[in-house]
Amino acid sequence: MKTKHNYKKKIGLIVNPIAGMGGSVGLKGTDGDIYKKAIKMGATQVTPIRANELLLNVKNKEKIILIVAPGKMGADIVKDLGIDFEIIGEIGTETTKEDTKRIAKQMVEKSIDLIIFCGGDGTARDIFDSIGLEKPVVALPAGVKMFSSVFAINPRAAAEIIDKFIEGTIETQEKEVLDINEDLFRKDILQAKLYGYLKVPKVLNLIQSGKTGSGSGRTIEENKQDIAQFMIENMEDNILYLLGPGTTIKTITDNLNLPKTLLGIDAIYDNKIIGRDLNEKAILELLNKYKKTIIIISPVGGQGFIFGRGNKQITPRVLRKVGKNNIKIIATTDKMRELVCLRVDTGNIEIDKMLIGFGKVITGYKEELIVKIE
Amino acid sequence: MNEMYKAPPKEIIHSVKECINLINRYTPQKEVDTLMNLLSLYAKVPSEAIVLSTGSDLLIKEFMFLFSNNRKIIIAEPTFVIINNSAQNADSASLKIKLSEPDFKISLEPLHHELKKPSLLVFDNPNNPTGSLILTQDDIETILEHKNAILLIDEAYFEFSKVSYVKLINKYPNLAILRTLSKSFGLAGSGIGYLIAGDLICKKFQGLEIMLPYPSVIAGIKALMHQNYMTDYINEVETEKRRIIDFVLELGVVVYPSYTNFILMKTELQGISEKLAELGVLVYDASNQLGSEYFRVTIGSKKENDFFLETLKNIVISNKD
Repeated sequence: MKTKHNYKKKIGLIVNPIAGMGGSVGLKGTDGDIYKKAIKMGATQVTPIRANELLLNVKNKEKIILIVAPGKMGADIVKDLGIDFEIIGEIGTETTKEDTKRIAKQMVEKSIDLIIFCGGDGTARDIFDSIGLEKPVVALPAGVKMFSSVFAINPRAAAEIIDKFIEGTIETQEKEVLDINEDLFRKDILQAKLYGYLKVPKVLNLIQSGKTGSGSGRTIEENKQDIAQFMIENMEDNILYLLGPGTTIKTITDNLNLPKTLLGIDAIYDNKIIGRDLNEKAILELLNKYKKTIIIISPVGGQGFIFGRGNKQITPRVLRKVGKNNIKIIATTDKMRELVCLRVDTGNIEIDKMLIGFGKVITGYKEELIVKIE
Repeated sequence: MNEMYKAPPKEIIHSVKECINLINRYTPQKEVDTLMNLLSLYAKVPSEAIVLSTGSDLLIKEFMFLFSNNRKIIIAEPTFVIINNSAQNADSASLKIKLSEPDFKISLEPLHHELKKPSLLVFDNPNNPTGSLILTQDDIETILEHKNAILLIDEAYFEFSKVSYVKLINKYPNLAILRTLSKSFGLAGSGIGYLIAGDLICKKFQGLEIMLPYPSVIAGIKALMHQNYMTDYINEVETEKRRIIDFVLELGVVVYPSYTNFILMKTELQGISEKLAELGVLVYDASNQLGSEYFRVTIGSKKENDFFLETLKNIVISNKD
């Protein structure tokens, strides 16, 4: 009879060896070939140190088996840590984003439970391209640009999350991956585009007491379902609905058994999809055709932007035509807790002025939150 | 968790022990009347304006049950969890107003339209967990001038804040004030809550009177007869509060103004409550309401406060990059 079971969690580790090298030499990122310039300027690798610090801080070392990328993308870092590991895939002397993408995919095929990746926004995009929402990830920040909200605060915080994951006290949530235009960023212009979502563990509040806990103990998923149910019950015929990006909004279309582009603007009329991934021109055409329009949006971009990040297709012209009163903002209570206020940056001062003040966010079934819009 | 750290005076403990011998009996009405009279003297309102119940939690739930029908419930975010959860579990629609740092004040500006419609507003003032006074007298009177609005103010910590709007019940029939003996009087385990309001509201509670357990009634009577210990405790809290604030500011911890027996703090560290708990300090984890870098610490004994400060200092120092 077998008495010993193997309960070890399989955890993938991918380290982008060149991420973050631009930072110390003031290059604001190493996308493309910029990293070669960084090396010439004397930049040293930062990711191995960060990844090493993370792994040293993991308490449940004996309960995991690491599935690591070869050489400097993983194996070199873990070999002396006393943690079981297996190497997966192959890399050349110079690593590229294709290595990250390929190896992440191979890890998923190997049924890993979670992937740790170490890098910046660029690495996050590569992981998203490769595995999407298939497996949860822990993102260890080591890049120069880390505007995406997927990242843990620091290696120690990431180690704590991994321990909680191993102990099973975890729920996952989708967090945003952003695409920052690196050429503009070097000129100090921040232009962020919503690129996708990754599934990130959310550490639950572990301290219990008689009076702790708010929100009647609903999960993020239940919260999304409540919002979707409320929105669907209040949807009317003969109104054009423009749906913005995000997983909260996608819950509405999922409940209506309709497809939704995760990152695009889609249109619904009388419970039917009449437009997908619309640009400004297509939206304006629809606005001319239909009498009344309601825009349903959710804050994007980590800092609470409702317009101007991730949904640029909804232009000032579109907003002027639809009007402030026909904008419905939806978001989970979890998301709203992290935001001090909502923000707008449409690129048009007059429209920004129309939108700022106080706004109502639908945060549940018959539940709204008043919050400042700046 | 947010309790007086020490036992109430001997007189109270002794009387409660004595009355245990009569636990086979229902609470004698004359003792209930005595408690009501003492509360009436203490709050400076007629006893007819008081509704007594087992803890203010129950009164919040009852109030929402009695007055939320066909009304939108308006509360603060964050607020005392019982207020939040009662609003969330009610059938009526709810509207929360996000309180913003650093003063966490309510803004009535976005409510003007709402107040014209039937509404039930429930605010804790001072607010829990922020410890702030979120309403001014002007705010309160502006709300109450709207005849369709009913306002319940939870003044659980008014002895610490020294701010009460109880007098306004004579002017406004749509106002109710909620209080408790759990905080400044340190009788959390007795669960004595009381509501103060005009006839229109008190009438709604007729026939719903809750019988308080005999030991609770006796504890309440004795506490109100020995109020000095309560004022001593408040002074002690104030002194310790100042000491704690000075110390943590040195550590770079963010502290918010407190009108209660607790202080809301913020560090740059996520999961700070859990870290403190691992080292033996129990604080209220405000992560469900504000984020995991926030926590609410109750003022304890000098020794407990010292231990908390030392532990917090060690965590903050060891996490400095």
